[in-house]
Amino acid sequence: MDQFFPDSVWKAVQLLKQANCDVVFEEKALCCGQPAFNSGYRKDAYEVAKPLIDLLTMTNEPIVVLSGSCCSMIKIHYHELHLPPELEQQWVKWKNRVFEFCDFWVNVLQNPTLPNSFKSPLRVLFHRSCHALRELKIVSAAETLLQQIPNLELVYTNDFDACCGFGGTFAVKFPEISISMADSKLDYAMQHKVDGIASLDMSCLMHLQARSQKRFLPLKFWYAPELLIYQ
Amino acid sequence: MNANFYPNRFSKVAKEALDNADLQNALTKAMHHSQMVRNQAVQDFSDWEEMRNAAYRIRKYTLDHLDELLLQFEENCVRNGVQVHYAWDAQSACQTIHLILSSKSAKRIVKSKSMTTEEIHLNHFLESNGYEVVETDLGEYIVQLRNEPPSHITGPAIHLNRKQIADLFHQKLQLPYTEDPEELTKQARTILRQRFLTADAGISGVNFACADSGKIVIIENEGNVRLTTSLPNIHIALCGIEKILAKEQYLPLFLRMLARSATGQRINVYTNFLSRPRQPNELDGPKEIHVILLDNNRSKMLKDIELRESLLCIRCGACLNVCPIYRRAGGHAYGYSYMGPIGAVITPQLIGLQNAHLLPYASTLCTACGDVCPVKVPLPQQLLTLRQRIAEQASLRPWLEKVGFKIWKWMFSNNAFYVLLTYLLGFASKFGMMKLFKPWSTYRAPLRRAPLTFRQQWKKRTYHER
Repeated sequence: MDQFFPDSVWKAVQLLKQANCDVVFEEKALCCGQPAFNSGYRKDAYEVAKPLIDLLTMTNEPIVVLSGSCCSMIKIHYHELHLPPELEQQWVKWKNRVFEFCDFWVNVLQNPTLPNSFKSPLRVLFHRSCHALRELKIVSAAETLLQQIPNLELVYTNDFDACCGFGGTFAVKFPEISISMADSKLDYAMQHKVDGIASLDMSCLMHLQARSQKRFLPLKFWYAPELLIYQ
Repeated sequence: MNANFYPNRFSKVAKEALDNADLQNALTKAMHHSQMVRNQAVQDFSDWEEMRNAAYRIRKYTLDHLDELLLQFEENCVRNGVQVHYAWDAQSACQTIHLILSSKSAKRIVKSKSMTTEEIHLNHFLESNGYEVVETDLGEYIVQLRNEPPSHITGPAIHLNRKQIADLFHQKLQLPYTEDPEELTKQARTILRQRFLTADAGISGVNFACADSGKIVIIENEGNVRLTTSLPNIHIALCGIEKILAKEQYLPLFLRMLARSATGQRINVYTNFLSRPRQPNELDGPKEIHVILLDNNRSKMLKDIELRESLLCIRCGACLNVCPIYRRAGGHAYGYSYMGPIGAVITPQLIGLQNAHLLPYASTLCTACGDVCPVKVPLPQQLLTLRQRIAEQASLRPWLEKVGFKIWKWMFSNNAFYVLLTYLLGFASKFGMMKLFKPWSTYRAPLRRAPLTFRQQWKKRTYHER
């Protein structure tokens, strides 16, 4: 998000500030380690996760993560890195203070500001991203939030919450299968004449957007919280 | 290594499958339907999650007490007059079956659907030893006529459409051409009935083997298992050692869950119980029943604390039906008798990591398989564990990936290197070098680093605010 989607991060920061939160951006927090972990390189993932764990141990405040799969990695999967006992103890202390943005907005801040309103109707295909849906189980909270926005209509694919095909390095290991999965989503979006696709995961969107651009499709892409202040 | 096993050709076979429009249509339709009916059927229970927990505990009890339970099962079988054989591997299982059949001069064999017989390549073995083997499950009969392995655990011919089956019957069996499913079924039935009546022996798999009664349970929808297990004089059931259930009283739970998970049925059409051979006062049933308990690396899997829970599997196929990779790659891409997520987990354990090292990577870790599994096999975690073991073996992953992750590790664990990465990405984006990363950019627009990263913007803004 830092390199490719800084605007989406700013939107989240702006929202938190509107909700009277004091936002601290931890510049030294770089990556959760998921890419290596999911590819089987647990040691490399551990090397990346360790400084992050040390860093997050120093704060007593809630930790907001933008994107479901990073959040799920930090909140749920870190013990699978075979952490040394003292590091594991530290992680256990703060892991329940880690929230994906939408989870934080709905369940901690209790929906602080009035939702945005769109001047003209906007149809958005909502991609229920896998880790937010099945691991963090925060998708329905996000949907309830978005459904309050006047003039915003959420559309769903009929594919039983299938994956978009990104899957980290899967996208480049099996590119043909990966884009076939993306195309299923994009074709559905085009058939149902939506304006764009929203999701709780920036990585799904990065992959869908890149495929959409390759096909010259007129679709927009939003990290879900952006819809709260998007005009 | 048998030439029939080809899991390491996953990418190639999957690509062919993607280009095969017939296959894509057939699979998409079938998998969509399977998911829909399964989800509806599961709604019957408000306590499905508790049922899954119970099923998990019962199956786990089996794994934890397998040594005692196998002996108990054997004892009860022997008391019932059923003969029990142990087979250490595929070869000894085949040889045992060969011995049983040849001692009775049995030549004509009818078979009902069994993935375990696929695992040991039984048909190939029997045919090369002069036996005449016919598959009697309709889907299995179709793939046998096409000389290919089944492509799905419960629906062997699910990759084919009606027209392909019509062509096959017309060409191979010289029958009048019809695309009517009912007519096609009738044609197959007429042929198979004759085979049943003249068969010397029947071979089946096993769904559940009850330790406390010695009964074998096989479920089906077509009635062919009933005929296979009751018409010929000899019956042989091939049973993986993990199929044991400690108590018969657990069956109602498993039958409900298995039928719903597999096909969305409330209950399958036939539930066959094999308890003992034909008694003097009985009119039908086989005179001899043999059970072959097959290990074939299962006890090795059992010893593996991290992966043993893949032996909980009851072969419902629900994880295949939800898997978006299976749906596109098709069952044959997995190159072995088990496919989809469960195949990606057990095939490397059964035939060795090096022989199936691509399979655990053939998943986006979307975790749909883990959620749908009726016995809670932790499929996503097991895929991750296998990936870790594969990555640890020097020869199994490309060196570029290994080096890549080393560099990635430096970049993301050290701020100075991260700044360097930022400049490199900025440079590459500016001069169109991002499109050189072909696996991404062949099918997608190249990524572009933002003119200023969030970190850079944040620094500037906080500087101005001060």
